[in-house]
Amino acid sequence: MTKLLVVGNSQAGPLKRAMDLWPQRFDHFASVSFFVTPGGNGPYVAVENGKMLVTFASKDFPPYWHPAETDTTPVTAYDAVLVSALGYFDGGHAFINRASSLGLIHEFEPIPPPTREQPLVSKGCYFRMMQAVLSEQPGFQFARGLRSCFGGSIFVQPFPLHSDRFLEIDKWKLRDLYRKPLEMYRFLVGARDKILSDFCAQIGATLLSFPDPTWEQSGFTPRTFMPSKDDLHPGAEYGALVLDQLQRAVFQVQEA
Amino acid sequence: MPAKSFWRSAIGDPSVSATKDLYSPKWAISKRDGVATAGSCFAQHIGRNLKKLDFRVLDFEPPPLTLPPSAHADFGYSLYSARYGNIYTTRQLLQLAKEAVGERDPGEIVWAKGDAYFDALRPSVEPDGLSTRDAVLAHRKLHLDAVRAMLVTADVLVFTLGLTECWVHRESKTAFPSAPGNSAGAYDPDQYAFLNLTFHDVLSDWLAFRELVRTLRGGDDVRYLLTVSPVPLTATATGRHALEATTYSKSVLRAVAGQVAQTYDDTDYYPSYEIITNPWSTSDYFDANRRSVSAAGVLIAMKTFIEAHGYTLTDEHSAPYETTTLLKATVVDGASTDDTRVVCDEELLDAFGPKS
Repeated sequence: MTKLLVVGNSQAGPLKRAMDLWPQRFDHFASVSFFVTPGGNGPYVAVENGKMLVTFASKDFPPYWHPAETDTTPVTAYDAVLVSALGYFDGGHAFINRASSLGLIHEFEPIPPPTREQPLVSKGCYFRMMQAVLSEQPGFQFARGLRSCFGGSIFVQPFPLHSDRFLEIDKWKLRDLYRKPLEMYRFLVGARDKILSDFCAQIGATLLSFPDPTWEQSGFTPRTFMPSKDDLHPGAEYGALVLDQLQRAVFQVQEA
Repeated sequence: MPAKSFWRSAIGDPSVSATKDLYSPKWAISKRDGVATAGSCFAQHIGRNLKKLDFRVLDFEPPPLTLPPSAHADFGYSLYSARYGNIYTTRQLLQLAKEAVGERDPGEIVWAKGDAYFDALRPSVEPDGLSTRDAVLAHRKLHLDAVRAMLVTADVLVFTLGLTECWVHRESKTAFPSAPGNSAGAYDPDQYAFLNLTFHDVLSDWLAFRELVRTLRGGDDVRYLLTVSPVPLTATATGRHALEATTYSKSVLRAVAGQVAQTYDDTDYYPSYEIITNPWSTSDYFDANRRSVSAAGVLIAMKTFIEAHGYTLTDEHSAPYETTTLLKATVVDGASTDDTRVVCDEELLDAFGPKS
């Protein structure tokens, strides 16, 4: 049986819930351990002396691992690691994320005037800026560090697409920045996906697609999979689909 | 007469450094002066070296805060004091200044290539172009604001004269930095014409530019430091031999620079052209293509300039230009390091032109 470590941020929650809800669906596939710290830019973790280490945690949102010995188990004891979930770029209706406000793109009809902090830039330039910002996120740093000390398979789950409820949400912060927030969001999705794909190729990791590849075209996850109030966090059904994907990906790697 | 006045003692004697006493600044550049740079690609070296020495090199279109330095040049940032790319001719410089102060409409300046649109007056600053014509014009408006601010603010303008050859739109007379159809757009002989500027053209362009800046600043003069790019033409559209065309072009530019520097106390000429191209300059000052200035050439030109102004390029400052290291790198892979990277639109022409 495959020994799998899931290292993630809050997006690993749906995976854990899926395993708890439908153990018979996944038990035969792998023995799964979790090491999770909250925060969309994370996980805020590193591998130190071969073991998982929390690099940042707040009082309100402590790190979490399961089973209890996960923090003392050498990373090399696992056959594969899933990094869940990289590529967070938009705070949704909570706040303007840094990665979605690096500059203003004329084609999407920006509302505020350009400033030193938020200059008018081309899509190509924005892509390069976003690439720099995402690659410095703690989650990306962790994946890079993991690759340097772990020879097994690394899988990367992309940060879920927003709920399609965003199409109806007036308080979506991108609406404060653009008259065409939907187009800007889709540009950001496309840029993020390309950045993530390039990154995974660079570190020799396997990037999972979204559970349904057709979602990519709309840029949104159907709301039935996104029960949380922030419309950024999927439910257990979504987690189960990711675990299904992961199973297939692991088998493919093992067969190869 | 001093020894520097005699060829034998100044240059012919191999024991004497040929750059000794070559350049005596007319006036000092202090670290309080706001220095603006523009011109042909060789001007990038001056700005970069002055920055290293903590001179106040102006940048009115600074790079976005999160754009990594390795990508600055790709988008025309950190090369000059605004994102105009290379300004090869005095015609381009004059028309840019006129446009920035609202005295000139350049006409149609958006060129298409596939689905992308380019600012034909600075096509290199957006390698992939923009996705609408309107976006090009919006970016240009901000650019012109930056150019205007630069012209009003600079204490010293460093300008490197690069070429006399250009392509112009027949109706608007707008001159372009590259031929239509080269990086974008399409060549149509009914719309575009080749122009090789004469001595009088270049001189009158420069004088008109001076006057425009003077008027803009309400009579408050700026000091000008002129140089002539030692980089030969990548190609000539005159039908003549490239060497002959290069000699014509550089001779005109050098003569105008000399004329202006002799006439105006506020204008100095720095002989980087002479340092690189004259007989005592060994072939080390050009790369294997006999066109690009080598790291060693850049180093001596910059050291001579900096030291004449009373400063020193320390090892730390000059490290990226370390002669032996960079010469090796140049020979081995033909590529410059990031720090020595100079953007020349002409290189595109070279890359896609005839290979033999």
